[in-house]
Amino acid sequence: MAMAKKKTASFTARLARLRYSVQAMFVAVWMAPILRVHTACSPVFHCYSCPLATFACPIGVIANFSALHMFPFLAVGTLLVAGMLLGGFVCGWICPFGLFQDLLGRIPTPKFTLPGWTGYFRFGVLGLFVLAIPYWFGEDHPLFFCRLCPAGALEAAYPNTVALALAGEPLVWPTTVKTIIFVAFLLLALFTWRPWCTALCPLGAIYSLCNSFSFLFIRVNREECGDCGMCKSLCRYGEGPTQRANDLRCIRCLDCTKCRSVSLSSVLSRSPRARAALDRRDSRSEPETVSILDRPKQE
Amino acid sequence: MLGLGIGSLVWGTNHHVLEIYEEQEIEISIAPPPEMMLPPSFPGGPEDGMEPGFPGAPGFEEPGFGGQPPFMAGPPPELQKVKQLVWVSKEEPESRAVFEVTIGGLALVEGELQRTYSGAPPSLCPT
Repeated sequence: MAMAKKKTASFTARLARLRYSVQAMFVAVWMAPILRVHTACSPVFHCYSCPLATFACPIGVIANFSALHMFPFLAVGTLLVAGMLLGGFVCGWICPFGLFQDLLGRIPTPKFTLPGWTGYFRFGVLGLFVLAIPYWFGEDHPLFFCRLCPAGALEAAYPNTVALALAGEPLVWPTTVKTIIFVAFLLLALFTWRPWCTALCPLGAIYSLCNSFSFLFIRVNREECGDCGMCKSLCRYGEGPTQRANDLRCIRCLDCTKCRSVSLSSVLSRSPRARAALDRRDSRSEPETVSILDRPKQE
Repeated sequence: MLGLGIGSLVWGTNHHVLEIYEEQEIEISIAPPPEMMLPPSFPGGPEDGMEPGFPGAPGFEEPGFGGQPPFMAGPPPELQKVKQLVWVSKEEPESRAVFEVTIGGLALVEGELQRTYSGAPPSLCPT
């Protein structure tokens, strides 16, 4: 029976099992000790003050450029290209801070799901702490995003404190606010999947907007779907693909593709023939790829 | 949107330049004060309490042994070299600005981008 299941598992379902390995491999890219290319932005959330950081953090660059009243063409270009090609895949497959939360989430503790509306906080964080406060008050303000960032605390502030302690130099502790935020998310990550990504990550907010337009996207075959709820039970981050195929909180972990009616599609798969078939099907049922503009409001 | 992203990357990499002011130490030459350019008064004169030409007075040593009068002793005074800090503007590509912000190396002062350090860059972002 197990063999039969293995044979029928789709390619994406098998790929989903490799997600942690892929994430770990990408950590080696973002934290390569011999490379330091801080003139370019990576597409992931990773503090550039980390001694091992290979690239600059796009959110840190956007916040700093906002404080300097400049438009960050390089950072925005990087995010648009990555978002349009991959969308939430970046969060689910290559982000090092996402991997850290995933590993914490694997600790066997009771898990709860954050309400869907918490996902909108990410846009508030992006608008307020990354754009508005830096623009109006500059980089010195205590609410400047990098001064609050838990990834910065994990990857730079605490390692730096440890390095100073080992060197016998006077210690520089991270700010109290940064420590509180970091510890809060550390604890929360034990009891819910990826609390930072699903509730507050400003980079996740940008990629979530790309989810509905990206080259790769999740598709639900309504003709095969029997409304069994399997995909919803497999989904740890959003509301399940049958509710919203490309939900704002979807990180494209591909766990839902274990259900045969859910698959990963690309824009290229939309050949004229396939598009015609889709149009016929869409005329019979609701659209599979829900635009964020057409999406009904959450209660 | 993908084209917009690629265009933004190309523009940021190749065309977008920023004017950044940085403090540089330069060496300037200053002429000595005018009084240093005038020859000193004749030594051994009445202002020194001596009779002019009194043997043993400075500047009247034996030829070839005691040297020459002070005002003829060396070449004219040289221009003084002084080190001074000045703000110099440079046009830098955006990629350089990205690097600078990762170490807290830029600040906006009165609408101008200024480098916050001179010499070797700091190793870490101040935040």
